[in-house]
Amino acid sequence: MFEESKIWVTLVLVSLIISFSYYIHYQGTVDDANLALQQSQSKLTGMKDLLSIRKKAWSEKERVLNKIKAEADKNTTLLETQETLGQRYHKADSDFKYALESMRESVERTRNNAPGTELGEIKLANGKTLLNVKIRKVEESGISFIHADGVGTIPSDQVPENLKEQYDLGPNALVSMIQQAQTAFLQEPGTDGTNNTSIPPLEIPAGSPSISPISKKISVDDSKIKSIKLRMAELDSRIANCSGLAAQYRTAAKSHQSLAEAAKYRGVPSTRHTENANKNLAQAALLENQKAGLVEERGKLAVELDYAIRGK
Amino acid sequence: MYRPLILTGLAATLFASSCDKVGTLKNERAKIEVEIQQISKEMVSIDDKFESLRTIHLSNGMTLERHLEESVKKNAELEAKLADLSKNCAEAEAAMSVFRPRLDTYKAKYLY
Repeated sequence: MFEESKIWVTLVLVSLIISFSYYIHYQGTVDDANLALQQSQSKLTGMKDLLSIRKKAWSEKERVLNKIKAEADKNTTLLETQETLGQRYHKADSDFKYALESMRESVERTRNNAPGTELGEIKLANGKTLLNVKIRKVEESGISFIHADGVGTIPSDQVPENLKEQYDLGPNALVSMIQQAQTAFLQEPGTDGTNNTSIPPLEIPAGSPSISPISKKISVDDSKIKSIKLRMAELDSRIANCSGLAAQYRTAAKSHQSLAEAAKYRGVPSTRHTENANKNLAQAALLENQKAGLVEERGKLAVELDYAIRGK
Repeated sequence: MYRPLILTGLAATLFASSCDKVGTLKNERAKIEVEIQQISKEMVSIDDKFESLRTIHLSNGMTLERHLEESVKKNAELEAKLADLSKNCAEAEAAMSVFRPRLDTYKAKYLY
């Protein structure tokens, strides 16, 4: 009985020793697992923080990129507007040139035809009346008359309104008004000064993730094509002006020729009408020549444009 | 007589139940590792995006922010110039619409 109980005590002791050893081992394993878990948790927290910072930084960059894209789109629209305005500017410039040239020429012709014109009695702005008035010469400063009391030059401001209008004199003269408007127009900058304000192109590679292309590259070819097109538009306008003016001169020549024939038929002198008709025909021929030159120049530009487009 | 047997059984049960705690900890750690891997993938994706920005060519090596500032400034300048130009063109067109009929009237009255 005693022996049996000794065996049991030994067994219990051995069991306790084994259990304790396992307990120690178990505690070590749990500690290791806990440590590894804590390390992982700490790593996760760090990475979450870093990811949050990186995400914030990227969203900031993305915001800037979107703004750049918006600005590039706006720039494209502005450049298109600039091109349209450039065409309008050149057309207005061309219109001014034509109007001024045409008016100057018309006034000069009217003034050149004036000497010898009999006006009878005229009343000046200061109230003085001149009798048997005949125009001697018309100048910018005034009109020189031969009248009953002798010869004299009347300053522009004293000349009657109808003569001021006919010979384009005084402050309301159309030539000077057009000239003033043209000067004011040319004082303002045209499209030439705005070329340097295009945004430098920002090119993003095609493979770049989640970023769309930001702007179209405005190449040198584009500006060359634009300049050729503008020049062509200007030439078109000048060609149209020349055609219109030449047609007017031809109509006038026909009218004078009819008057000359009528005068011949009536037996009165027709020389003046014939001369006027010839002058008008000469002007029309001159304008036709000018038009031919412009058409030729336009043709050259068309070839240049073709090459520029192909080269692009 | 059965007391030692009972004690041994108790110790074995305690040992068996303690093993389950290690398994739980390991499972928890595995879940965290999966999460870490997902975050790593996201980081790589963001890094790629940043890397792609480096390949963007900016004149004079300027930053995107500086490029944006320049763009805004240039657009504002261009806009102002175009507004002036538009006003100038409108004024010129208005003036021409007055001059043209006067010119035609003059020619009709005194030349033809």
